[in-house]
Amino acid sequence: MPRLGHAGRGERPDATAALLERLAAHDGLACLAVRLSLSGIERALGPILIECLSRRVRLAVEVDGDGDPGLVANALTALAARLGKRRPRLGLVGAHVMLPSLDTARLESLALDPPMPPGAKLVGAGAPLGAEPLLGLLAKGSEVIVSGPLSPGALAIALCRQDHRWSADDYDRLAGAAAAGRVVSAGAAGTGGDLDDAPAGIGLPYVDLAPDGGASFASTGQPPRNAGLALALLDGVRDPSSLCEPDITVDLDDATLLGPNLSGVRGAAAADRVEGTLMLETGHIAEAECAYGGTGAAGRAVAAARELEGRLAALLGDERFRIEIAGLDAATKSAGERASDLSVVPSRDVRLRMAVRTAARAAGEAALAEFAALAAFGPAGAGGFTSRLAPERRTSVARFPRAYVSWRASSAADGP
Amino acid sequence: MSGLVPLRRFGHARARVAGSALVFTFALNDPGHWHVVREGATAARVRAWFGAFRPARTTRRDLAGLAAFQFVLEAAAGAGRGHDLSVDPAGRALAQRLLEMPVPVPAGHPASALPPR
Repeated sequence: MPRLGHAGRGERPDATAALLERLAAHDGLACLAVRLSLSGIERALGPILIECLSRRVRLAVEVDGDGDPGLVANALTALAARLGKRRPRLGLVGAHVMLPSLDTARLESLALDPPMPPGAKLVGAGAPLGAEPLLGLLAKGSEVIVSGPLSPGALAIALCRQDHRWSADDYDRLAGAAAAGRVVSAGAAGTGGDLDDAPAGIGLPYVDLAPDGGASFASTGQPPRNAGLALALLDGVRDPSSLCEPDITVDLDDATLLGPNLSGVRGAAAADRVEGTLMLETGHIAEAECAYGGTGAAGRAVAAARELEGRLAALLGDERFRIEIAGLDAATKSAGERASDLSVVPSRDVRLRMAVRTAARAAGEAALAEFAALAAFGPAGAGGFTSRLAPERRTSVARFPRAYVSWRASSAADGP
Repeated sequence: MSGLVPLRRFGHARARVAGSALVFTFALNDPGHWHVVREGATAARVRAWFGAFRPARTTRRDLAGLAAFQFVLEAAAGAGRGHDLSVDPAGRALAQRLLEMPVPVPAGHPASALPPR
Protein backbone atom coordinates (compact mmCIF):
# COMPACT_ATOMS: atom_id res chain seq x y z
CA MET A 1 0.00 0.00 0.00
CA PRO A 2 1.56 3.34 -0.98
CA ARG A 3 2.27 5.86 1.74
CA LEU A 4 2.59 9.51 0.82
CA GLY A 5 3.88 12.27 3.07
CA HIS A 6 4.07 15.95 2.26
CA ALA A 7 6.42 18.46 3.81
CA GLY A 8 4.80 21.47 2.14
CA ARG A 9 6.91 24.49 1.39
CA GLY A 10 9.46 25.99 3.70
CA GLU A 11 9.00 23.33 6.35
CA ARG A 12 11.73 22.95 8.96
CA PRO A 13 14.28 20.31 7.97
CA ASP A 14 14.00 18.43 11.26
CA ALA A 15 10.23 18.13 10.77
CA THR A 16 10.82 16.76 7.28
CA ALA A 17 13.37 14.30 8.66
CA ALA A 18 10.80 13.04 11.17
CA LEU A 19 8.37 12.50 8.31
CA LEU A 20 11.00 10.60 6.35
CA GLU A 21 11.40 8.25 9.34
CA ARG A 22 7.71 7.37 9.21
CA LEU A 23 7.80 6.81 5.49
CA ALA A 24 10.96 4.73 5.56
CA ALA A 25 9.52 2.42 8.21
CA HIS A 26 6.70 1.52 5.83
CA ASP A 27 6.78 -1.74 3.88
CA GLY A 28 5.12 -0.54 0.69
CA LEU A 29 5.90 2.14 -1.83
CA ALA A 30 6.69 5.35 0.01
CA CYS A 31 7.03 8.86 -1.32
CA LEU A 32 8.04 12.12 0.30
CA ALA A 33 6.86 15.27 -1.44
CA VAL A 34 8.36 18.72 -0.97
CA ARG A 35 7.63 22.02 -2.65
CA LEU A 36 10.50 24.46 -3.09
CA SER A 37 12.20 27.10 -5.18
CA LEU A 38 15.69 26.86 -6.64
CA SER A 39 17.15 28.79 -3.73
CA GLY A 40 15.53 26.48 -1.17
CA ILE A 41 17.14 23.21 -2.28
CA GLU A 42 20.09 23.09 0.09
CA ARG A 43 18.04 23.89 3.18
CA ALA A 44 15.14 21.59 2.33
CA LEU A 45 16.95 18.61 0.89
CA GLY A 46 20.48 18.76 2.29
CA PRO A 47 19.55 16.92 5.49
CA ILE A 48 17.32 14.27 3.85
CA LEU A 49 18.49 13.54 0.31
CA ILE A 50 20.93 10.80 1.23
CA GLU A 51 18.48 9.22 3.65
CA CYS A 52 15.79 9.17 0.97
CA LEU A 53 18.12 7.39 -1.44
CA SER A 54 19.47 4.89 1.03
CA ARG A 55 16.09 4.10 2.58
CA ARG A 56 14.31 3.77 -0.73
CA VAL A 57 11.81 6.55 -0.18
CA ARG A 58 11.00 8.28 -3.45
CA LEU A 59 11.36 12.01 -3.39
CA ALA A 60 8.98 14.21 -5.37
CA VAL A 61 10.23 17.78 -5.71
CA GLU A 62 7.65 20.26 -6.97
CA VAL A 63 9.20 23.49 -8.15
CA ASP A 64 7.33 26.65 -7.24
CA GLY A 65 5.70 28.93 -9.76
CA ASP A 66 7.60 29.44 -12.97
CA GLY A 67 10.85 27.98 -11.59
CA ASP A 68 12.75 25.73 -13.98
CA PRO A 69 12.66 22.04 -12.96
CA GLY A 70 15.80 21.44 -15.06
CA LEU A 71 17.83 23.91 -13.00
CA VAL A 72 16.53 22.35 -9.79
CA ALA A 73 17.51 18.88 -11.07
CA ASN A 74 21.03 20.13 -11.83
CA ALA A 75 21.33 21.67 -8.37
CA LEU A 76 20.07 18.47 -6.82
CA THR A 77 22.67 16.40 -8.67
CA ALA A 78 25.37 18.82 -7.52
CA LEU A 79 24.11 18.55 -3.95
CA ALA A 80 24.34 14.74 -4.05
CA ALA A 81 27.92 15.01 -5.37
CA ARG A 82 28.87 17.44 -2.59
CA LEU A 83 27.46 14.99 -0.07
CA GLY A 84 29.71 12.33 -1.58
CA LYS A 85 26.93 10.24 -3.07
CA ARG A 86 26.15 8.91 -6.50
CA ARG A 87 23.90 10.74 -8.91
CA PRO A 88 20.29 9.82 -8.05
CA ARG A 89 18.09 8.29 -10.74
CA LEU A 90 16.29 11.46 -11.71
CA GLY A 91 13.00 11.97 -13.45
CA LEU A 92 12.17 15.35 -14.84
CA VAL A 93 8.80 16.72 -15.90
CA GLY A 94 8.15 20.04 -17.55
CA ALA A 95 4.88 21.46 -18.77
CA HIS A 96 3.97 24.21 -21.17
CA VAL A 97 0.77 25.97 -22.01
CA MET A 98 0.93 26.93 -25.67
CA LEU A 99 -1.61 29.62 -26.40
CA PRO A 100 -2.77 30.40 -29.91
CA SER A 101 -3.39 34.05 -30.66
CA LEU A 102 -6.29 34.93 -28.43
CA ASP A 103 -9.04 36.79 -30.20
CA THR A 104 -12.17 37.79 -28.33
CA ALA A 105 -14.02 34.55 -29.09
CA ARG A 106 -11.10 32.39 -27.93
CA LEU A 107 -10.73 34.42 -24.75
CA GLU A 108 -14.40 33.97 -23.97
CA SER A 109 -14.06 30.24 -24.53
CA LEU A 110 -11.43 30.10 -21.76
CA ALA A 111 -14.07 31.26 -19.23
CA LEU A 112 -11.64 33.65 -17.54
CA ASP A 113 -12.51 34.42 -13.94
CA PRO A 114 -12.20 37.30 -13.26
CA PRO A 115 -12.56 38.44 -16.86
CA MET A 116 -9.62 40.08 -18.59
CA PRO A 117 -9.76 43.83 -17.89
CA PRO A 118 -9.69 46.19 -20.89
CA GLY A 119 -6.15 47.04 -21.96
CA ALA A 120 -4.61 44.10 -20.10
CA LYS A 121 -1.61 42.41 -21.67
CA LEU A 122 -1.19 38.66 -21.55
CA VAL A 123 2.22 37.78 -20.09
CA GLY A 124 2.00 34.10 -19.24
CA ALA A 125 -0.05 30.99 -18.73
CA GLY A 126 0.24 27.92 -16.54
CA ALA A 127 -1.60 24.73 -15.72
CA PRO A 128 -0.80 22.10 -13.08
CA LEU A 129 0.37 18.66 -14.13
CA GLY A 130 -1.64 15.52 -13.60
CA ALA A 131 -0.49 11.99 -12.79
CA GLU A 132 0.33 10.72 -16.27
CA PRO A 133 3.94 11.95 -16.59
CA LEU A 134 4.70 10.95 -12.99
CA LEU A 135 3.42 7.45 -13.58
CA GLY A 136 5.87 6.81 -16.40
CA LEU A 137 8.79 7.95 -14.27
CA LEU A 138 7.75 5.81 -11.30
CA ALA A 139 7.57 2.80 -13.62
CA LYS A 140 11.11 3.52 -14.80
CA GLY A 141 12.38 3.52 -11.23
CA SER A 142 13.07 7.22 -10.76
CA GLU A 143 14.24 7.88 -7.23
CA VAL A 144 13.79 11.63 -7.39
CA ILE A 145 11.16 13.28 -9.58
CA VAL A 146 11.46 17.00 -10.19
CA SER A 147 8.44 18.70 -11.70
CA GLY A 148 6.69 21.98 -12.20
CA PRO A 149 3.48 22.67 -10.29
CA LEU A 150 1.36 19.57 -9.75
CA SER A 151 -2.34 19.28 -9.18
CA PRO A 152 -3.01 18.40 -5.52
CA GLY A 153 -4.06 14.85 -6.38
CA ALA A 154 -1.47 14.02 -9.05
CA LEU A 155 1.13 12.30 -6.92
CA ALA A 156 -1.34 10.17 -4.95
CA ILE A 157 -3.03 9.05 -8.16
CA ALA A 158 0.32 8.15 -9.74
CA LEU A 159 1.43 6.15 -6.68
CA CYS A 160 -1.84 4.21 -6.59
CA ARG A 161 -1.81 3.50 -10.28
CA GLN A 162 1.75 2.23 -9.95
CA ASP A 163 1.37 0.20 -6.77
CA HIS A 164 -2.27 -0.92 -6.90
CA ARG A 165 -2.31 -1.25 -10.70
CA TRP A 166 -5.50 0.78 -10.97
CA SER A 167 -6.55 1.70 -14.47
CA ALA A 168 -7.09 5.28 -15.62
CA ASP A 169 -10.87 4.80 -15.57
CA ASP A 170 -11.08 3.37 -12.05
CA TYR A 171 -12.78 6.64 -11.22
CA ASP A 172 -14.05 6.20 -7.68
CA ARG A 173 -10.80 4.81 -6.31
CA LEU A 174 -8.70 7.37 -8.15
CA ALA A 175 -10.95 10.12 -6.80
CA GLY A 176 -10.35 8.83 -3.28
CA ALA A 177 -6.61 9.00 -3.84
CA ALA A 178 -6.86 12.48 -5.33
CA ALA A 179 -8.82 13.69 -2.31
CA ALA A 180 -6.23 12.20 0.04
CA GLY A 181 -3.43 13.82 -1.92
CA ARG A 182 -5.20 17.12 -1.64
CA VAL A 183 -5.24 16.86 2.15
CA VAL A 184 -1.57 16.00 2.61
CA SER A 185 -0.44 18.57 0.05
CA ALA A 186 -1.56 21.17 2.59
CA GLY A 187 1.43 20.15 4.74
CA ALA A 188 1.03 20.68 8.47
CA ALA A 189 -2.30 22.42 7.90
CA GLY A 190 -3.68 19.14 6.56
CA THR A 191 -3.92 17.54 9.96
CA GLY A 192 -5.10 20.59 11.83
CA GLY A 193 -1.68 21.53 13.08
CA ASP A 194 -2.30 25.20 12.38
CA LEU A 195 -5.72 25.52 14.03
CA ASP A 196 -5.84 28.22 16.66
CA ASP A 197 -6.51 25.77 19.47
CA ALA A 198 -4.03 23.13 18.31
CA PRO A 199 -1.87 21.71 21.08
CA ALA A 200 1.89 22.06 20.82
CA GLY A 201 3.63 19.61 18.55
CA ILE A 202 2.55 20.36 15.00
CA GLY A 203 3.32 17.37 12.85
CA LEU A 204 3.52 16.75 9.14
CA PRO A 205 0.83 14.62 7.52
CA TYR A 206 1.08 11.33 5.72
CA VAL A 207 -1.52 9.01 4.30
CA ASP A 208 -1.85 5.32 3.57
CA LEU A 209 -3.70 4.84 0.30
CA ALA A 210 -5.73 1.64 0.60
CA PRO A 211 -6.53 -0.78 -2.25
CA ASP A 212 -10.25 0.01 -1.93
CA GLY A 213 -9.73 3.72 -2.57
CA GLY A 214 -10.00 4.69 1.07
CA ALA A 215 -7.33 6.69 2.85
CA SER A 216 -6.03 6.74 6.39
CA PHE A 217 -4.27 9.87 7.62
CA ALA A 218 -1.63 10.17 10.30
CA SER A 219 0.81 12.79 11.46
CA THR A 220 4.30 12.92 12.86
CA GLY A 221 2.95 15.08 15.70
CA GLN A 222 -0.47 15.23 17.31
CA PRO A 223 -3.08 12.89 15.78
CA PRO A 224 -4.95 14.44 12.84
CA ARG A 225 -8.10 16.35 13.71
CA ASN A 226 -11.16 15.90 11.57
CA ALA A 227 -11.74 19.65 11.33
CA GLY A 228 -8.23 20.07 9.95
CA LEU A 229 -8.67 17.24 7.45
CA ALA A 230 -12.01 18.62 6.23
CA LEU A 231 -10.66 22.17 5.91
CA ALA A 232 -7.69 20.99 3.87
CA LEU A 233 -9.90 18.86 1.64
CA LEU A 234 -12.39 21.63 0.89
CA ASP A 235 -10.12 24.67 0.95
CA GLY A 236 -10.96 26.95 -1.98
CA VAL A 237 -13.24 24.41 -3.69
CA ARG A 238 -16.09 26.22 -5.41
CA ASP A 239 -18.07 23.10 -6.22
CA PRO A 240 -17.41 20.08 -3.98
CA SER A 241 -19.41 17.80 -6.29
CA SER A 242 -17.26 18.63 -9.28
CA LEU A 243 -13.68 19.29 -8.31
CA CYS A 244 -11.61 19.32 -11.49
CA GLU A 245 -8.25 17.59 -11.42
CA PRO A 246 -6.37 17.01 -14.68
CA ASP A 247 -6.90 13.23 -14.31
CA ILE A 248 -10.35 13.03 -12.85
CA THR A 249 -13.43 14.86 -11.62
CA VAL A 250 -13.82 14.43 -7.86
CA ASP A 251 -17.19 14.40 -6.10
CA LEU A 252 -16.98 15.05 -2.35
CA ASP A 253 -20.71 15.22 -1.64
CA ASP A 254 -20.76 11.83 0.11
CA ALA A 255 -17.20 11.88 1.38
CA THR A 256 -17.01 10.75 4.97
CA LEU A 257 -14.40 11.11 7.65
CA LEU A 258 -14.57 8.54 10.40
CA GLY A 259 -11.69 9.30 12.67
CA PRO A 260 -8.70 9.67 10.39
CA ASN A 261 -10.25 7.52 7.63
CA LEU A 262 -11.64 9.05 4.47
CA SER A 263 -14.14 7.13 2.33
CA GLY A 264 -17.10 7.72 0.06
CA VAL A 265 -15.34 9.92 -2.48
CA ARG A 266 -16.71 9.39 -5.96
CA GLY A 267 -15.13 10.07 -9.31
CA ALA A 268 -15.96 10.63 -12.94
CA ALA A 269 -13.99 11.15 -16.11
CA ALA A 270 -11.87 14.29 -16.21
CA ALA A 271 -13.36 17.37 -17.81
CA ASP A 272 -12.36 18.04 -21.41
CA ARG A 273 -10.65 21.21 -20.23
CA VAL A 274 -7.83 21.74 -17.78
CA GLU A 275 -8.02 24.44 -15.13
CA GLY A 276 -5.05 26.78 -15.08
CA THR A 277 -4.21 30.46 -14.88
CA LEU A 278 -3.48 33.33 -17.21
CA MET A 279 -1.05 35.98 -16.00
CA LEU A 280 -2.05 39.47 -17.06
CA GLU A 281 -0.23 42.79 -16.90
CA THR A 282 -2.92 45.29 -16.18
CA GLY A 283 -1.29 48.66 -15.61
CA HIS A 284 0.49 49.94 -12.53
CA ILE A 285 0.08 49.56 -8.83
CA ALA A 286 1.21 52.17 -6.33
CA GLU A 287 1.53 51.25 -2.68
CA ALA A 288 2.57 53.33 0.30
CA GLU A 289 2.64 52.83 4.04
CA CYS A 290 3.47 54.75 7.18
CA ALA A 291 3.23 54.00 10.89
CA TYR A 292 1.52 55.82 13.74
CA GLY A 293 2.54 55.04 17.29
CA GLY A 294 1.83 56.07 20.86
CA THR A 295 -1.23 57.49 22.57
CA GLY A 296 -4.05 58.15 20.11
CA ALA A 297 -2.23 56.41 17.25
CA ALA A 298 -5.39 54.81 15.87
CA GLY A 299 -7.30 58.10 15.94
CA ARG A 300 -4.55 59.89 14.03
CA ALA A 301 -4.32 57.09 11.47
CA VAL A 302 -8.09 57.14 10.91
CA ALA A 303 -8.00 60.93 10.47
CA ALA A 304 -5.22 60.51 7.92
CA ALA A 305 -7.15 57.74 6.15
CA ARG A 306 -10.27 59.88 5.84
CA GLU A 307 -8.30 62.81 4.45
CA LEU A 308 -6.45 60.55 2.01
CA GLU A 309 -9.70 58.98 0.87
CA GLY A 310 -11.05 62.38 -0.12
CA ARG A 311 -7.87 63.37 -1.92
CA LEU A 312 -7.65 60.12 -3.89
CA ALA A 313 -11.32 60.24 -4.86
CA ALA A 314 -10.74 63.73 -6.27
CA LEU A 315 -7.54 62.64 -7.99
CA LEU A 316 -8.61 59.31 -9.45
CA GLY A 317 -12.32 59.81 -9.78
CA ASP A 318 -13.33 56.19 -9.21
CA GLU A 319 -12.80 53.27 -6.86
CA ARG A 320 -9.43 52.06 -8.00
CA PHE A 321 -7.84 52.49 -4.60
CA ARG A 322 -7.91 50.91 -1.19
CA ILE A 323 -6.97 52.47 2.12
CA GLU A 324 -6.58 50.26 5.15
CA ILE A 325 -5.07 50.38 8.60
CA ALA A 326 -3.09 47.39 9.83
CA GLY A 327 -4.04 47.03 13.45
CA LEU A 328 -7.66 48.03 12.87
CA ASP A 329 -9.14 46.48 9.77
CA ALA A 330 -6.58 45.80 7.06
CA ALA A 331 -7.01 42.08 6.68
CA THR A 332 -10.75 41.74 7.00
CA LYS A 333 -12.38 44.87 5.55
CA SER A 334 -14.19 44.81 2.24
CA ALA A 335 -13.77 47.13 -0.71
CA GLY A 336 -17.16 48.61 0.09
CA GLU A 337 -16.10 49.82 3.52
CA ARG A 338 -14.59 53.27 3.66
CA ALA A 339 -12.35 55.06 6.09
CA SER A 340 -15.37 57.18 7.04
CA ASP A 341 -17.02 53.98 8.33
CA LEU A 342 -14.11 53.12 10.61
CA SER A 343 -14.68 53.04 14.31
CA VAL A 344 -11.59 53.91 16.28
CA VAL A 345 -10.52 51.09 18.53
CA PRO A 346 -7.83 52.27 20.91
CA SER A 347 -4.46 51.11 19.69
CA ARG A 348 -0.96 52.42 20.26
CA ASP A 349 0.61 50.98 17.13
CA VAL A 350 -1.00 50.95 13.69
CA ARG A 351 0.11 51.21 10.09
CA LEU A 352 -1.73 53.12 7.35
CA ARG A 353 -1.56 51.57 3.89
CA MET A 354 -2.72 52.74 0.48
CA ALA A 355 -2.88 50.68 -2.72
CA VAL A 356 -3.84 52.32 -6.02
CA ARG A 357 -4.37 50.71 -9.40
CA THR A 358 -3.82 52.98 -12.40
CA ALA A 359 -3.46 52.53 -16.14
CA ALA A 360 -0.86 55.28 -16.41
CA ARG A 361 2.28 55.44 -14.32
CA ALA A 362 1.88 59.20 -13.84
CA ALA A 363 -1.40 58.75 -11.95
CA GLY A 364 0.34 56.31 -9.62
CA GLU A 365 3.10 58.85 -9.00
CA ALA A 366 0.48 61.51 -8.19
CA ALA A 367 -1.20 59.20 -5.67
CA LEU A 368 2.15 58.47 -4.00
CA ALA A 369 2.82 62.22 -3.80
CA GLU A 370 -0.49 62.71 -1.99
CA PHE A 371 0.38 59.99 0.51
CA ALA A 372 3.87 61.38 1.07
CA ALA A 373 2.46 64.87 1.66
CA LEU A 374 -0.02 63.50 4.16
CA ALA A 375 2.70 61.56 5.98
CA ALA A 376 4.85 64.69 6.16
CA PHE A 377 2.24 67.33 6.93
CA GLY A 378 -0.83 65.42 8.13
CA PRO A 379 -1.68 64.09 11.58
CA ALA A 380 1.32 63.98 13.89
CA GLY A 381 3.65 61.09 14.38
CA ALA A 382 3.71 59.44 10.95
CA GLY A 383 6.93 57.51 10.47
CA GLY A 384 8.41 54.60 8.60
CA PHE A 385 7.17 55.84 5.22
CA THR A 386 7.69 53.36 2.38
CA SER A 387 6.37 53.35 -1.17
CA ARG A 388 6.46 51.27 -4.34
CA LEU A 389 5.29 51.82 -7.91
CA ALA A 390 5.46 48.84 -10.25
CA PRO A 391 3.68 47.15 -13.14
CA GLU A 392 0.77 45.16 -11.80
CA ARG A 393 0.37 41.49 -12.56
CA ARG A 394 -2.84 39.66 -11.88
CA THR A 395 -4.01 36.13 -12.53
CA SER A 396 -7.31 34.86 -13.83
CA VAL A 397 -8.50 31.28 -13.63
CA ALA A 398 -8.80 29.82 -17.13
CA ARG A 399 -10.12 26.59 -18.59
CA PHE A 400 -7.73 25.49 -21.31
CA PRO A 401 -8.51 22.96 -24.03
CA ARG A 402 -6.25 19.97 -23.36
CA ALA A 403 -4.50 20.55 -26.66
CA TYR A 404 -3.05 23.78 -25.24
CA VAL A 405 -1.24 21.96 -22.43
CA SER A 406 1.76 19.78 -23.22
CA TRP A 407 4.31 18.07 -21.01
CA ARG A 408 7.55 16.22 -21.43
CA ALA A 409 8.96 13.67 -19.05
CA SER A 410 12.50 12.36 -19.16
CA SER A 411 14.49 10.11 -16.88
CA ALA A 412 18.18 9.49 -16.37
CA ALA A 413 17.79 6.28 -18.35
CA ASP A 414 16.69 8.35 -21.36
CA GLY A 415 20.09 10.02 -21.50
CA PRO A 416 20.78 13.75 -21.44
CA MET B 1 -36.03 32.40 23.58
CA SER B 2 -32.77 32.06 21.79
CA GLY B 3 -29.37 33.62 22.07
CA LEU B 4 -26.54 34.48 19.73
CA VAL B 5 -23.10 32.96 19.87
CA PRO B 6 -20.21 33.54 17.46
CA LEU B 7 -19.69 30.81 14.88
CA ARG B 8 -16.17 30.47 16.28
CA ARG B 9 -17.60 28.52 19.22
CA PHE B 10 -18.46 25.63 16.93
CA GLY B 11 -15.37 25.08 14.84
CA HIS B 12 -12.81 26.41 12.43
CA ALA B 13 -12.78 28.10 9.05
CA ARG B 14 -10.60 28.78 6.07
CA ALA B 15 -11.14 31.37 3.36
CA ARG B 16 -9.68 31.81 -0.08
CA VAL B 17 -10.19 33.93 -3.13
CA ALA B 18 -10.98 31.58 -6.03
CA GLY B 19 -11.29 33.48 -9.27
CA SER B 20 -13.77 36.25 -8.54
CA ALA B 21 -15.41 34.34 -5.69
CA LEU B 22 -14.74 34.18 -1.99
CA VAL B 23 -14.86 30.60 -0.77
CA PHE B 24 -15.26 29.78 2.91
CA THR B 25 -14.99 26.35 4.48
CA PHE B 26 -16.33 25.85 7.98
CA ALA B 27 -15.64 22.58 9.82
CA LEU B 28 -17.25 21.60 13.09
CA ASN B 29 -15.22 20.55 16.08
CA ASP B 30 -18.12 18.39 17.22
CA PRO B 31 -20.43 16.83 14.60
CA GLY B 32 -23.11 16.84 17.27
CA HIS B 33 -23.54 20.56 16.58
CA TRP B 34 -24.44 19.91 12.93
CA HIS B 35 -28.11 20.84 13.21
CA VAL B 36 -27.75 24.03 15.20
CA VAL B 37 -25.08 25.36 12.82
CA ARG B 38 -27.08 24.24 9.79
CA GLU B 39 -30.08 26.16 11.10
CA GLY B 40 -28.08 29.19 12.17
CA ALA B 41 -25.37 29.70 9.57
CA THR B 42 -27.65 30.02 6.58
CA ALA B 43 -26.52 31.31 3.20
CA ALA B 44 -28.74 34.35 3.73
CA ARG B 45 -27.10 35.15 7.05
CA VAL B 46 -23.61 34.75 5.60
CA ARG B 47 -24.58 36.92 2.65
CA ALA B 48 -25.79 39.64 5.02
CA TRP B 49 -22.67 39.32 7.20
CA PHE B 50 -20.49 39.91 4.14
CA GLY B 51 -22.90 42.43 2.58
CA ALA B 52 -20.17 45.03 2.16
CA PHE B 53 -18.45 42.65 -0.26
CA ARG B 54 -21.56 42.82 -2.46
CA PRO B 55 -21.69 39.13 -3.45
CA ALA B 56 -23.76 38.52 -6.57
CA ARG B 57 -24.91 35.20 -5.13
CA THR B 58 -24.20 33.26 -1.96
CA THR B 59 -24.58 29.51 -1.75
CA ARG B 60 -24.02 26.94 0.99
CA ARG B 61 -23.14 23.30 0.46
CA ASP B 62 -23.72 20.86 3.31
CA LEU B 63 -21.12 18.11 3.61
CA ALA B 64 -22.51 16.05 6.45
CA GLY B 65 -19.97 13.24 6.16
CA LEU B 66 -17.18 15.75 6.65
CA ALA B 67 -19.06 17.77 9.31
CA ALA B 68 -18.40 20.83 7.20
CA PHE B 69 -20.12 23.57 5.24
CA GLN B 70 -18.91 25.35 2.14
CA PHE B 71 -19.98 28.94 1.47
CA VAL B 72 -19.33 30.50 -1.93
CA LEU B 73 -19.79 34.25 -2.39
CA GLU B 74 -19.79 34.79 -6.14
CA ALA B 75 -18.24 37.95 -7.57
CA ALA B 76 -17.27 39.16 -4.08
CA ALA B 77 -13.54 39.37 -4.73
CA GLY B 78 -13.11 39.97 -8.42
CA ALA B 79 -11.50 42.76 -10.35
CA GLY B 80 -13.10 46.10 -9.62
CA ARG B 81 -14.13 45.06 -6.14
CA GLY B 82 -10.71 45.93 -4.86
CA HIS B 83 -10.02 43.02 -2.55
CA ASP B 84 -6.99 42.19 -4.66
CA LEU B 85 -5.55 45.53 -3.54
CA SER B 86 -5.73 44.33 0.05
CA VAL B 87 -2.76 43.47 2.21
CA ASP B 88 -4.25 39.95 2.05
CA PRO B 89 -5.22 39.52 -1.61
CA ALA B 90 -5.71 35.77 -1.21
CA GLY B 91 -8.42 36.47 1.37
CA ARG B 92 -7.04 34.07 3.97
CA ALA B 93 -7.70 36.35 6.94
CA LEU B 94 -11.38 36.69 6.02
CA ALA B 95 -11.99 33.32 7.68
CA GLN B 96 -11.71 35.11 10.99
CA ARG B 97 -14.46 37.49 9.94
CA LEU B 98 -16.74 34.54 9.20
CA LEU B 99 -16.00 33.11 12.64
CA GLU B 100 -17.17 36.36 14.25
CA MET B 101 -20.64 35.92 12.71
CA PRO B 102 -23.34 35.57 15.39
CA VAL B 103 -25.37 32.40 15.10
CA PRO B 104 -28.73 31.97 16.87
CA VAL B 105 -28.95 29.02 19.21
CA PRO B 106 -31.92 27.81 21.26
CA ALA B 107 -31.97 28.98 24.84
CA GLY B 108 -30.00 26.70 27.07
CA HIS B 109 -28.17 25.11 24.15
CA PRO B 110 -24.82 23.75 25.31
CA ALA B 111 -23.06 25.96 22.73
CA SER B 112 -23.79 28.93 24.96
CA ALA B 113 -21.52 27.36 27.51
CA LEU B 114 -18.73 26.42 25.09
CA PRO B 115 -15.54 28.24 26.01
CA PRO B 116 -14.78 31.27 23.83
CA ARG B 117 -11.71 30.99 21.58
